Amino acid sequence: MPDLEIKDLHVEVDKKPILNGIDLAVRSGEVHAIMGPNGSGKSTLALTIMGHPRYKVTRGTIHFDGRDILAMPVDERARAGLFLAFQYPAAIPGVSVANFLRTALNARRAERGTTAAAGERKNTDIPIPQFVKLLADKRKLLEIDESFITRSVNDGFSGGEKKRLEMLQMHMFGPKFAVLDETDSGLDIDALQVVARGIEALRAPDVGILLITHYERILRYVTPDYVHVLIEGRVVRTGGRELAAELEEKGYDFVREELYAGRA
Amino acid sequence: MTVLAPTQPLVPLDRETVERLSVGRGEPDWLREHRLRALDRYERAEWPSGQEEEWRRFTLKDLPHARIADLIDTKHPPSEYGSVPLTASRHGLIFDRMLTVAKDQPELVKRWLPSDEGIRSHRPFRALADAAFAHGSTFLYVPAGLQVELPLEVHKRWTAGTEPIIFRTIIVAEANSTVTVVEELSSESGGPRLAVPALEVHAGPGARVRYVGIHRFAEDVWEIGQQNVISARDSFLSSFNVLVGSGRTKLGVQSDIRGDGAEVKLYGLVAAADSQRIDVNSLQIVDGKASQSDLLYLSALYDSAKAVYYGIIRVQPTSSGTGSYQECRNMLLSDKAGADPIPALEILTSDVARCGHGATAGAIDEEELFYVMSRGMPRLEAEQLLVRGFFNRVVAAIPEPQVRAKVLAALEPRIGRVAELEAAA
Repeated sequence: MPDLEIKDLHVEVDKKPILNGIDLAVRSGEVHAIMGPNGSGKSTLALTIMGHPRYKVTRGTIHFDGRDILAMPVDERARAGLFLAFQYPAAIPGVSVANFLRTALNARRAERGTTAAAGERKNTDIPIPQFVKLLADKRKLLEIDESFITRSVNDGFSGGEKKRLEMLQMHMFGPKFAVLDETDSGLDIDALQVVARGIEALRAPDVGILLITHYERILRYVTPDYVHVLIEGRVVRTGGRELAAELEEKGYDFVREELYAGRA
Repeated sequence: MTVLAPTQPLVPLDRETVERLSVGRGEPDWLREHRLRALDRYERAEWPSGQEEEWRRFTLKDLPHARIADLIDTKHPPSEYGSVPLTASRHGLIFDRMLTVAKDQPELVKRWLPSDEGIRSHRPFRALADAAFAHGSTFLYVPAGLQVELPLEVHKRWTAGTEPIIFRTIIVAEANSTVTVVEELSSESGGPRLAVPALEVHAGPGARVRYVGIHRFAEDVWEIGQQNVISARDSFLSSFNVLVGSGRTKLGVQSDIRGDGAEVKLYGLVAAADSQRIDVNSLQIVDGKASQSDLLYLSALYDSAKAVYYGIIRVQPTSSGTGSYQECRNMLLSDKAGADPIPALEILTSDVARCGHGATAGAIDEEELFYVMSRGMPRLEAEQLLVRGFFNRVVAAIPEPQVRAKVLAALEPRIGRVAELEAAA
């Protein structure tokens, strides 16, 4: 079972410590929500799991499926089954959504033997009819218009369109573990429901999901198994669905106050 | 009047060699005389000193030896493939080897063969091409009003050898005709070699002409090329240069608008690696009322490849309300790669609708790269995808899918296999 295990994770960005000892274990089939105020380290955690080179791990480990992923470059993590839905996805002018998805799928399917000569590479590409069918099914699930896929990736997309494309990619690649970094931010209620449906549709006994959010709103549509509160680069509280409701009602200050009271 | 003493020609050429070349090819007398007049120009031509803006960054010091005499009875003529739609030929389309047309239609070739001195910076090479052009020369004539629907293609491939590659391509599109021409140039490697291609395109009044030149000579070739495109009133002329080959490439491009309402688009894609040097200089001469001239060159540079671009827009005093632009973007895929884009504007009238330039050179965007790699693509494939997207502004401007496919195939060694999905998507 592919589990994600984070132990004593310390991360710096430009020499500044952001994460100060995170411990987190997400088992397959579980949905964990990470909540926290701005600057608490939520996005740092997401980008560190994926392997962004700006985020330096100074201490601690991340294991996925029993493998030390900190030793793997980002593309290898992706092919091992990790997926990150970006808070701010990059635009790629001149590359259509369809070509991007197909190129990525083919890269994920390619056999990367160390001994095979380049010329002997087997054609493992997804057959076009199969690709077209898969894309049509996923578009339908996420209510994405056909015209969307001939546009350049995120180029001139609205905030909501970008988040939908992140969801579409997640479903096209079928990851074993998905990290969603504030995918719910800035969405109107219709888009939020589509995103929530996308997350619920991914939910399966062999898939783990880490849902990073600033607001409780998405948790009305997606029921997490656990809620963690992140403050100043640490998980300060863990609870069930009810913790999110409590945060919504009282704000993050009550956790902060508890935290400082505990330290005093 | 002071006559400057000509510097020593970099390519030795004498009367006897020119005459033997012409006789050996079985040319008519008038063609030989044309060559000898060009030789006269060649002997008087002033070679670049290296101080000129166009030649400052491209030294001719190590130009490969070129023996024109080797072109006489060469054992290595290039293979050429071309196809002409039958119906078009019935309507007077001519698309053939220069010599064949010179023999069959001497009056036509006599009319279009003489060129002025060509691009100022390339005059010695212009005269060399006029005096010593040989195998691989092509003549295309599209009669007035003829619409050639399918692209005309010619593939010129030189087998291994050391004889120089010198040829002319002349494209004449008469009034209100339409044509697309694809010229593919390549050679097998086999020692240092000089290539001097000279292209002229004449777009008649109201004609629509598209030229696509795919240059992929072997890595030991020095290509010193030039292109003159001349636009009559109300014509539309687009030119695409895909520069992927040659260890050294120096291309001079000149567009000359000579009438009202003409539109010119000059596109270039440069994909260079290893220690390739690709140096392009351009001159866009804009004249007439409301004419438009736009240039867009995009370069992707790998390893220690270098690209230089020096371009001038000259808006003539006799013009009015014209629009022109010059844009050169460079993507650097290695710390050792470099690009030097130098734009210049000469606006000789106050009656201009638009005139400007944009030039950039920069490394690949790390955030874009991380995003693409996070989808499972290894670094190389991710870079290729980004370069492909970067090039798309030019590739997408080619309307015919089969021509786009040819351009992408030529770029494949650099940008990888392209998952074209337009039909399926």
